[in-house]
Amino acid sequence: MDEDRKGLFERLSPEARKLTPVGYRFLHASPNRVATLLRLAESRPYRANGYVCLGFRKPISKCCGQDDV
Amino acid sequence: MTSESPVFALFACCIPVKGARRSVVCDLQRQSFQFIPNGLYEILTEHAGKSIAEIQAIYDHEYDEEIEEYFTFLLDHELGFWCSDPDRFPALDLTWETPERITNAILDVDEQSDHDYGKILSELDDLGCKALEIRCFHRCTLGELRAILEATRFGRLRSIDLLVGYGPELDSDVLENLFKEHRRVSSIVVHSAPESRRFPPTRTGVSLEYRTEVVDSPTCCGKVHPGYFVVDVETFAEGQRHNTCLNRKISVDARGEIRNCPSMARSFGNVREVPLHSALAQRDFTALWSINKDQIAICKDCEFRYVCTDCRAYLQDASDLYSKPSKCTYDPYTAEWRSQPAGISGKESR
Repeated sequence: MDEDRKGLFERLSPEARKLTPVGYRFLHASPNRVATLLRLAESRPYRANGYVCLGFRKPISKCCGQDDV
Repeated sequence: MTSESPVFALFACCIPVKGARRSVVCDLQRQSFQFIPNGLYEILTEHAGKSIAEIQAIYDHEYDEEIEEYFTFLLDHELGFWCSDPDRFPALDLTWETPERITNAILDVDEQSDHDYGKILSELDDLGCKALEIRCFHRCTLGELRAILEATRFGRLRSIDLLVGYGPELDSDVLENLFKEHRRVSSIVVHSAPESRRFPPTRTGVSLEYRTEVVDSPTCCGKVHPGYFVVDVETFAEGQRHNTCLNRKISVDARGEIRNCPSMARSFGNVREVPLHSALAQRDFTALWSINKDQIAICKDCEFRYVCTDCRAYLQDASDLYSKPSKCTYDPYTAEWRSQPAGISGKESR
């Protein structure tokens, strides 16, 4: 596991580096641990947006098809 | 209670939903879903709390390899974990409550509309409304948009979605400035545009999109497709007992008529004469709020039923309030979407 963690910070994108530290609570013994950490760091803006803003996420009306764009 | 062999537990936010032909695991935290076969649904629900050896034995060791593959799939997608004390990981409480009498509203506008925006917005504030969609069916000017948004400036709304008809002055720079002036605008969709363009969301999550599609009346509404699915705790919980479209919704159509949604036939009075709270107090206004997907024909067999945002205005059988949305092209019995959007020719309840 220590080997996997080595150089972890350098493997993050520049954007993700600015957002660390992230929570390390999912760093368990699973084979996905490194991928999980990287994904958590990279996806932090989206998660933060979802949890902090408490916006209304449902579509209020549904007028547009999806094949147009 | 602990068991000797580890047992598999789904994360509380990963909830399996069974459909007629296949099932899904809704990952409410990541806001996504994974398809699973109904056999795995059975394992996750009827045989929850059993070890893998016990489950393989239940199926007479006929599917040992498949069962192992199932659990590998669940682990790979981080939908659950092995543990020896599953009772320590209780299910989510899916009770849905909200302090607002109205959570969302639609305000329709066309060339003939003569709305008193200040009055309507203030009445929505009184009801606690937090999300508003303003739909302008006509070619909208910047001046009109500014006038509407100005009425929202000191209100309680948390988000405003705009659907507006294309006009040459509504270019992306102008609209981005509008975002900056009115921070509660969360999306703008410009319909009837000469070309389709989608801009990446801004840092604050605001999206801007131009579509060639023409949205010139409420009859364009009611579409059901995966783009309108919402996979989150709030919607999933609300969908257990309430209608995911109409619950806590109020609408004012282009003529000022107050309805559950602008596509519904029944008016509860004109907003010029009847305050929104009086319309809401009428006995039948909330009648449709409690129609959930488990009560709707065909939808009750659909694996998407708790993430779909439904439509009660355009129905396959206009005389049956519990019939499937006519614009939904998904058949849960074959697990296929029809390529030709249906419901355009379907019966409407209006």
